[in-house]
Amino acid sequence: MPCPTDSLPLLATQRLTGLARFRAERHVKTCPTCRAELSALQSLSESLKAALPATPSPTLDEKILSIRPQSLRDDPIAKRKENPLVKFGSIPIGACLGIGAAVLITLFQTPTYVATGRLLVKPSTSTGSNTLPIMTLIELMNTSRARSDLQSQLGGQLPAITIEPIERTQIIVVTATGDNPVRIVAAVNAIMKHTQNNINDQNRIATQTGRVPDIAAEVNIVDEPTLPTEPISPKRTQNLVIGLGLGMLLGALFGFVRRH
Amino acid sequence: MPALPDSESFTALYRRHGRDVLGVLLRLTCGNRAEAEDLTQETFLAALRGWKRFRGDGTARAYLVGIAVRRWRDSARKPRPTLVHDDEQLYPKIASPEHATLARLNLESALKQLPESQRVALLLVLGQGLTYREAADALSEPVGTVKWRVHEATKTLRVLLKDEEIA
Repeated sequence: MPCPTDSLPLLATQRLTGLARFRAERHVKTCPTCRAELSALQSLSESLKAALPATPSPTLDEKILSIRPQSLRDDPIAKRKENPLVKFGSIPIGACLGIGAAVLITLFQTPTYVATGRLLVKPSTSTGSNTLPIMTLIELMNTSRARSDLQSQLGGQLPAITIEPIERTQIIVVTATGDNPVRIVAAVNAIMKHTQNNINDQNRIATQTGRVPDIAAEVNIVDEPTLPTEPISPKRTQNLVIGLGLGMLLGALFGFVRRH
Repeated sequence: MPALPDSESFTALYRRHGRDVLGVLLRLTCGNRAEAEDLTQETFLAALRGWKRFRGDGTARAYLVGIAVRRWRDSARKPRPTLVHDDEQLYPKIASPEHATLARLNLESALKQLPESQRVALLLVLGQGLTYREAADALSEPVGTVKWRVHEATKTLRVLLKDEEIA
């Protein structure tokens, strides 16, 4: 049987009970090493206990016995410990509040969608012109007449529309931004088709009549807009992270100010 | 969750464990009686304030000793005046033969050489008679850690006191 080293201190202080005590005592009877160890531990325990217990002074008795347990219910320290800010810490509470605020903002913020289409502008083959009137074309697409045509076609308020060239290419990008994904796709499609039909019809008529066309170019739709499924704002994950960070920061600040 | 004790229960609690708590604190504070008594008072006050957290699954003595050790550790971190040894309080039962005086001084000196964690575990188990489980609850440490600390402390003490009767 291996020596019950861990049990010997408890055997020395009479705190070992049951089967463990029976086994340890039986072992000690037959093992001189453990017997010597137990004797040393008993001596050490007696020496330590000789220092203990100490007698409390009458002043200490009086101080402690004058405490009224029931009065501690209104104790400010006990109440402070019940305060959720103290109990759970201001940082986690601040984080929860921050996330809550971010969720509310995200829920109540109107979602914004974006749709994009691309037009390719090529030099007109029928006129033999080598110049590309891209900026002129963009200006014509941005005229108030063009916008009123679009409005009459779509009805209601137009979404925000931007028309921009891509540098060093023959591409024009048409972008619409708004809260209704179907409507912004329709707006981009309408602008691109209107431009393509107008310019190409004008060129065809000019060729047939032998006149010089106003815009000597061919316009083709190369990229039609697709129906957006995710809004570009609000950004839920970003808002939650910002809310969490700000909440923790404010919680820590609050805790610091409160403590000092 | 146990209800707050009434005055009579609290008095009984103090009468039963007050000496143990003061004894541990006297030993931990190296006999500084004023500090030990202050800490004893704080311990009982803290025990009442935290009574709701005392789940009742350990002994009241382990609960009180645990608070006393934490209070002493908190207090030990603060700057304190020079300790005053009160041997009469530390060793009231030992008479004054030269051999006993020498032995107690050696024990005191050897205890001071132990790492704090081992000294506290030894005092609770061998000095206070707590079981490993009770000491582990009091110190918020695993039972195995307490066993190891007591073992190491007794081993070190044996080396330090090898020429003394106590070892």
